[in-house]
Parts: sequence; C-alpha cells; structure tokens
Amino acid sequence: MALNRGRLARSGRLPCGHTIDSLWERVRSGASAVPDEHVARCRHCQTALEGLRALHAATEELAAEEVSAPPGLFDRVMRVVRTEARRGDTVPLVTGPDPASVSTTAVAAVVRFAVDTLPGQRLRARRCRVQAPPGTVDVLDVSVEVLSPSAAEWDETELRRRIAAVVSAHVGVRVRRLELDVVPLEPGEEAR
Amino acid sequence: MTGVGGGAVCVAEGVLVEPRAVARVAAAATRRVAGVVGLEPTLTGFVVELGRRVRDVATGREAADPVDGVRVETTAGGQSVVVTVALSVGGRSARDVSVDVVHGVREALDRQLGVRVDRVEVVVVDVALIPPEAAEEPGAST
Amino acid sequence: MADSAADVVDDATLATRAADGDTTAFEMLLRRYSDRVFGLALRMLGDRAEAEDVAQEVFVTAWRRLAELAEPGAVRTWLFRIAHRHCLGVLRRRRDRRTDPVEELPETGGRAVGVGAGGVADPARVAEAGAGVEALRRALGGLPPPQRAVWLLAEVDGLSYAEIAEVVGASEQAVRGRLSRARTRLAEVMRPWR
Repeated sequence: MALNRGRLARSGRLPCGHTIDSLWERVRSGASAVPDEHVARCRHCQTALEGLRALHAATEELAAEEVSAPPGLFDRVMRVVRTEARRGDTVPLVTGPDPASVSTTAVAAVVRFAVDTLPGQRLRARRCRVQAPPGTVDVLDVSVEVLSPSAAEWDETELRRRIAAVVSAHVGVRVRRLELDVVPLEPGEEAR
Repeated sequence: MTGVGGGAVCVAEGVLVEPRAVARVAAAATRRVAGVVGLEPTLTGFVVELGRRVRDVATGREAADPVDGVRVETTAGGQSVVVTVALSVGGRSARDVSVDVVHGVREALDRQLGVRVDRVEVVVVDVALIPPEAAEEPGAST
Repeated sequence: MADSAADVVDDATLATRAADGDTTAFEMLLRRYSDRVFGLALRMLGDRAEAEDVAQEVFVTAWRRLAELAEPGAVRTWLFRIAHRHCLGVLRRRRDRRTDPVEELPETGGRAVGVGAGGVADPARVAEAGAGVEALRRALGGLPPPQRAVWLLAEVDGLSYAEIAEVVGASEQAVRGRLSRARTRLAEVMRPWR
C-alpha cells in the first residue's frame, strides 16, 4: 500500500517518485490542476489522492468552523490587566495636606486620544511618556510619537493646541513641554 | 482594604468607629461626586497569579466588595486617620473631581460618623474618554 | 471622514501602546485575537477548560511581556508562539501525569471542536454530517503534538511557512518536513472518509 508507514511515508515520497506535497497541491488547486498522465494512471498516486481529497474536504470544514473564546475570558484577562496597569507611576494633580495624583498611563491615554481624534486627520499616537517636572505643581512634560500618513497635511500647531486642550479638559493640568515625534507612514505600510 | 496599621478610630472619649465603617462612608461619598466613574480595587493589594487561580481572583468577591478602592489607615490608638481613595473619572477634569472628592469624603465622615480625618488622598487611576467634541474647551480649534 | 477599514488600528500601533501600559489598546488586541488563540489551543488540546486556561495565560503573559516584543507588528505570530509553547507544556504535563490507562474521551458533540487523544473513528458514522471533520479531529489527536501544531497553523490559521517557523521556533525546512509528515499521516487515516 502506497501510504503505509515506514520509510516511504516518512519521506513523503511515493514508490513512483511523486511526493505527497505535490499531490496535495494538486488537490488544493482542484480543477485548475494541470492534468498529469502519470498521476491519472498510477495506483500509488490515486490511492494517495483519495486520502488527500478526504483530508482536504474535512480540512475546509474544520477551518470554517467558528470558534469563539468563552465569554468570561475577556473579563478575567482585562481585570488582571487593569489591576496591574494601576500599579504604575503617578504624577501629582494637587499638592498640600490632601494630595491627589493621576496615573501616567491614564494621562498618556488622554494624550493619544487627542492625537487620534484630530479632526479630519488619520493620525495614530504610539509611544507616549508623561513626566512631572521636579518641583512643579500641576504641569506635565509630555512626549508622544505620532504616525502620520505621508501625504497628510496638518498643522502641528493645531495638534499641539489640541493636545493641550484635551489634557486640560480631562486631567486638569497644563502641558509645559510637548515633544512631538512625527513618523511618516508610507502608503501600504499601515499593517506593520 | 480597611484598617491598615491599626484598629478602630477613636472619635470621642470611649467612642470608637470601625475602619470598615469609615471606608464605607468614604466610598459612598466618593461615588456621589460628579465625574466619578467608579472606585477602583487597586488598593486591595491582592496578588494576581497565573493559572486557574486568576479566575478565582478575577471573579472573586473582591470585585463586589463595596469598599474596594478605599483604604483607611489608623495610628496611635485611633487618633490619626488617613483615607486613600482610588478611582476612575470621566466627563470632568481629574483635578476638579479629586478636589470635590476630598471635600465630600471629609464632610461625610465628619457629619455621619464624627470622624475627623487627618488626610484624604486621591489617586486617579483611569480617565474615561468621552467623544472629542464634548471634551474640547472653548478656544480649541476644530 | 475615514472609512471603516482604515479606522481599524493596526497591530503595531496597538502593541506599542499596550507595551506603554495602555489598557484600551490591549483590550483591542485581546478582542482581535482571543478567538484565534483559543481556537488554536482548543484544537491542540481537545479540552475547552484547558484551552481556556491556556488562552488566559497567553494574554496575561503577553500583557506583562509586550515591552520585550522587538517588532510590534509581529504581535500576531508572537501570541501564537506563546500559545504554542503553553499548549506543548500542557500536553507534556498531561502525558507525564497519565497513570490511568483509560484515555479521556475527547469532547465531540455539539460545538466542541477539539481533537481527540488519538484512536480511530467508527466508519459507520460516515453517513453522518460532519463525520469527516470528526475523523480529522481524531486523526489530529493521533499526531505528535509538534506535527499537529504545524498542521493547524498552516491549514486552519493560514500562516506562512516563515511565520510558522517563527511560532514554533524551528527552521522553515523543519516546518515543511513536519507538515509533509502530518499530511501523509492524515491522508492515510482519512482515506475511508473520501
């Protein structure tokens, strides 16, 4: 039997010299496969094709099955993530006898949001660092990497104003220094 | 988590208040402040582990504990009280919300329990983002 | 303004933000890949509870170690790599633990899509709808785990040889070899279901 275990099967080559992989490609390409006289007459090839066709049909069915992650998975993972994210650094909001602070990751999310939603543009904020300058009260230094489609035209001053306004509205602090690192994004590069 | 570093809070000669009661009142006062989205269980300090136990921790009663996100520390025989609140905000500036939370917690503890707090500390762990136009201040360009 | 396709934030951006501690970005990655990671684990392990544990571990590990990911655009293969490693670990422990000679039956009915722990399906079920898939699941269960993984990544998840090599930590040549052996074995077992 052509497909018996052992040396032949392990090497993926049939006694007639054809390989399982080449036959698999024939099965996969279906009707568009170039007719091959040897394959049509060879019993080794025909036997292998029978198995491969059955495999192909079942594979398509298996791949088409929709698998959904269990509903609780999302919440459990996010709970861990949120809890751990909160252990990060904070910057002061209010100093004095009743101090208040805000996490830097929360401020960074606000900054990214301001960049992403610049009206009429399709900018993407990536890395963002938030620091409180030593010895200051309710001001922050922010640096953010901005991906911009290379053809896009937008006003940097407008983006700066927007970031300052959104941080002021959501966080209530002034942005003292804003470092924008604009990375041009070539067309088609987006997926990476 | 309540009662770190001590026991009951002494409000008057011979009158004691459980730290848990302090935490509960502080939590309720915090939730009443406009712009507070929720208290955050970051202060419970539980250790999250990998594996099936994550599930228990993640869905366990910590989540339902009404005083999650509030820590009450008492020292020196209940004479000194520090309340720390961890919360997420949205719709108002984190700074403004924090200031109101401090006032709200101080006032509620004094009025409801007679507890004078030495310090109220607020930690904003999350800022919920609302649609951009609503977030813009007058003068910001569109 | 923007069309919906362009509004989809790319993997690299999400991975970079998540590595920065942005939980919303991580949440989007989780939504994007949880079904596929769970699916791979389920088909590798044939057990929903174990697959769920693996998927959970994969994403928690990913959250903690995203900063180590050199190329954020490769987060998809990276997630598969973590999943692959965890699955092989589960199978190894399962094998080491197995003192009971009676094999656990794989989940078969309903929406379960796991693979069995090997064995041959009853050909009398040929007439039933989905019998071919059922047979394939069992056949997959009979493959050595490294072959099963490579086969699933190629045929179900549609990864390229280069990506699979990245996921399983082997050369592309080794991947081709494993895939070829898996096909040979599976074709042999599947022949009665033609």
